[in-house]
Amino acid sequence: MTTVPLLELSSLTVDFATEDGGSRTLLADLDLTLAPGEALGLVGESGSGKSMTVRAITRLLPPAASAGGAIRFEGRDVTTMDAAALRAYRDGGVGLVFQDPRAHINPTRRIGAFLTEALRHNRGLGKREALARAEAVLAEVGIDEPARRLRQYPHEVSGGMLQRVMIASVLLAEPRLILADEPTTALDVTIQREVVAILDRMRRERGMGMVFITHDLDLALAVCGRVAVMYAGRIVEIRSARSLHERAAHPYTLGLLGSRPAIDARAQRLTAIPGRPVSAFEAGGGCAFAPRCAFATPTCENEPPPLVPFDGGLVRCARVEEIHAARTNTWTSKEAAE
Amino acid sequence: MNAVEVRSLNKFFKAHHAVADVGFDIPAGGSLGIVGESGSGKTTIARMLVGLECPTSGSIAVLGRDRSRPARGSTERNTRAQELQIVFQDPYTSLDPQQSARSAIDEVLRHHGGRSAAERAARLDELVDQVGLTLRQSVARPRDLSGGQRQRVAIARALATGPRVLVLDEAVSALDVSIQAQILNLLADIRADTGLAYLLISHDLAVVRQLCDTVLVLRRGRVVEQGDCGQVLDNPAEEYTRALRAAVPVQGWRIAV
Ligand SMILES: Nc1ncnc2c1ncn2[C@@H]1O[C@H](COP(=O)(O)OP(=O)(O)OP(=O)(O)O)[C@@H](O)[C@H]1O
Ligand SMILES: Nc1ncnc2c1ncn2[C@@H]1O[C@H](COP(=O)(O)OP(=O)(O)O)[C@@H](O)[C@H]1O
Ligand code: SF4
Ligand SMILES: [Mg+2]
Ligand SMILES: [Mg+2]
Repeated sequence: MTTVPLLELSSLTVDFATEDGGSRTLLADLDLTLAPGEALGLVGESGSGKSMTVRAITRLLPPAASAGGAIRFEGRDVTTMDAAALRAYRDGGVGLVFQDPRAHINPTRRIGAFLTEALRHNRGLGKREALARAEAVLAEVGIDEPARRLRQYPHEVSGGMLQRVMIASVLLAEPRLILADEPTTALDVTIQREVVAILDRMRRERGMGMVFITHDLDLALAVCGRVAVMYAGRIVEIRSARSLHERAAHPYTLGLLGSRPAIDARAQRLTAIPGRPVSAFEAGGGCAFAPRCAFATPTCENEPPPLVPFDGGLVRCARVEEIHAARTNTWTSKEAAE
Repeated sequence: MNAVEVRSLNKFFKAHHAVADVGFDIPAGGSLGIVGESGSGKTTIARMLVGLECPTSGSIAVLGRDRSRPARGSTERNTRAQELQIVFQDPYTSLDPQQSARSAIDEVLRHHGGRSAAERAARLDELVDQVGLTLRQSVARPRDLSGGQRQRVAIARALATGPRVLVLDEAVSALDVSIQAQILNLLADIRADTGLAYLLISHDLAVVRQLCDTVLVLRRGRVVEQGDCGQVLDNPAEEYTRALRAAVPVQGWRIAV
């Protein structure tokens, strides 16, 4: 028996209507399934479509953008939800954590008012009870003196603390799915570690699913069970975090891994990918990565490769078998030479 | 002679002790990384080196010349600019939006001159080429360039005075990973080719390891620990450095805290 996925995206596309009457593709062919309680990483460089994916999932796309394909949450079609169903979905189904908490909190209201608003409105809790609940959750996310924090204004606390307040507000709604869009990018590394640990612990304890978005592949690997790598509005590789370091197969994933300097050794030279990342609408008709890919052939430039199973994951590369064979050969001959 | 010598450097903003008794050397052609949490005083140190901020006490010498006091007159200011240049995180704010890369670089060449028009043009081509800008990019305005390309322009402009020291304040932090790798390789090449000394400010320990010989860990304006980069990162002597090191996500990272 298979359980109903928590979230299912099939052939999700997002197109953007331009002022001159044209249309730009921002996301294409996005297929993704998330099981209840699973943590999935969404990794890619700027413009690859990570935030657009979150906006499509929550139906918070900009007015000029439109989504195609299917989005199902616990088996229900999100794209056809009426206003009431959509409100319930946003209030209790999904919770959002953003990169910049200050942009998503009213600076003129106390933290206590911010945290209790939904409890009082949607759940009909009294003020005292709502505040007690908020205080308990602040303590849970590791904020000391929670009662005092409730009386403070956003500008009176640090960025790391405010991000915990945001996580607390999401937890108060008890969602089944957390969408975290670069939740730690603006934080110091030590604070990042704490915030990520809180998200991880809360997710496990409450059995919530999480889509964790980051441009930091290593962070995604540390936090998630499975990681999807995006390039130009498409998933180019998806596999278990455990296997990604050793078994990455897509040239772009390999490039990302080679681009990052290591903390424990200095590389002679980083294997930088030439050129710059592009958005979906900037890509040509074939493989979007072709202009930067060392393995590109004329076929690559004309035929868009499909996402196909390979070595325990899914890979969108026409030459994946050859490239893998060539890499494995070099390893074997290296080993033989040693 | 050391490229940079800093001794007992202090900076107060009113009662706030932003930089407290900091000292370090950067040998000619050397590369020092400064790491530390937000607000620890990294940028304040950089700004004092460039002369954008005046130390409360202590000394700063670049190529043996003291610069702990404001420059007296334009000659001294020019000399200082010729010796040390800075590149910031977001070149967008430091580049003139109306100016192409070529004219921005040319302006610096003219100002720090003594070159004929032909020599200047040759040097301009050399700089554009050195930072890997195409001809088209070199005549484009900043808003038509990507973040990585703008950062190349900022680096070329900083190199135009022929400095011996380059201060990089989070200069690669905002770049996409694949672009960051290109710029890190570029910076390594420039150092190897020109013997320029770097002061690299970054919150990213891996970036520091990739580019620096020595590292200084700063916390609340004070030096926590300093020394050989590999030594400090692999065998931190101080608890704070250990915490910084442990916060770097790596494979098998235990996120439970
Ligand atoms: N002009 C100023 N007036 C008052 N205080 C200042 C001024 N500039 C910096 N500070 C304070 O000095 C301290 C050090 O700031 P600095 O900008 O050097 O930090 P930093 O290490 O560069 O941080 P970040 O990683 O966030 O860039 C901070 O507490 C900051 O608020
Ligand atoms: N409000 C918007 N209107 C039009 N296009 C947008 C908007 N926001 C983002 N885009 C475009 O959508 C694409 C994907 O962007 P985004 O999802 O923000 O990428 P990421 O989060 O991966 O950096 C990019 O081409 C970007 O320029
Ligand atoms: S399909 Fe071709 S261009 Fe695209 S990643 Fe594979 S080898 Fe490179
Ligand atoms: Mg984004
Ligand atoms: Mg700074």
